[in-house]
Amino acid sequence: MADRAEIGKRLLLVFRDVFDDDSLEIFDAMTAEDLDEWDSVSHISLVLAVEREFGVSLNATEIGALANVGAMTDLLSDRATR
Amino acid sequence: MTGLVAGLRPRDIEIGQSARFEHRVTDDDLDRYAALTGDISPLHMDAHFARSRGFRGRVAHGTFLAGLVSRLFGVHLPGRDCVLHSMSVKWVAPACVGDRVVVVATVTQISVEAAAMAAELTITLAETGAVLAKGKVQAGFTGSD
Repeated sequence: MADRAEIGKRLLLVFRDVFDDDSLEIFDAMTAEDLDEWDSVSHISLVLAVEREFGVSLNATEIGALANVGAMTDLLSDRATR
Repeated sequence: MTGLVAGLRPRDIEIGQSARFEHRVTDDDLDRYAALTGDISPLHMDAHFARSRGFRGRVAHGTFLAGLVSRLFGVHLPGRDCVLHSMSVKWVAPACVGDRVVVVATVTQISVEAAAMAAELTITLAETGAVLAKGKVQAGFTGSD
């Protein structure tokens, strides 16, 4: 299992890249409601970027479970291959 | 018309798969694109002016070339079900009237579950292989399997 804090740091960089905001901060409870730019298209961008960064291929159930940052971090802590 | 359009689904697409077509840039292309967009800069409309600025002739609008990228995805890869999510393009060198350009996209990522793909694109000059533009595209798919 990967280190959760390290996963969180890398996930922050993914978010900043996808949303093109170098000052963006994320937190476990953060959802699309907390970020205006987090719409359905950017969610797909996020999924693709997460798959690239962490070397994972997510299934539909996992994608559906990516409702908040904490869930993403937990999932990636289990699944990340790099 | 739809018979000319591919209908690839995410499961049909692999990383490394590519599509390409060639197009010769014409005066008519630039006339019609200028009429549609209103961009009548003399760089695009006046060959004499363009040459006076060091170009080989009328310079194709950069976004006209980006439009050819839209054609590549909407017609060839994946075709019918494509919805462009994002496109980033860096224009490296101009395409001028008479140039034959080659538009190529190569898939770098495909997610069947997210119904989305990412690809790198290049536009080159057919005669020399010189890169005119390069960039990245993300696209999704309408409908479901």
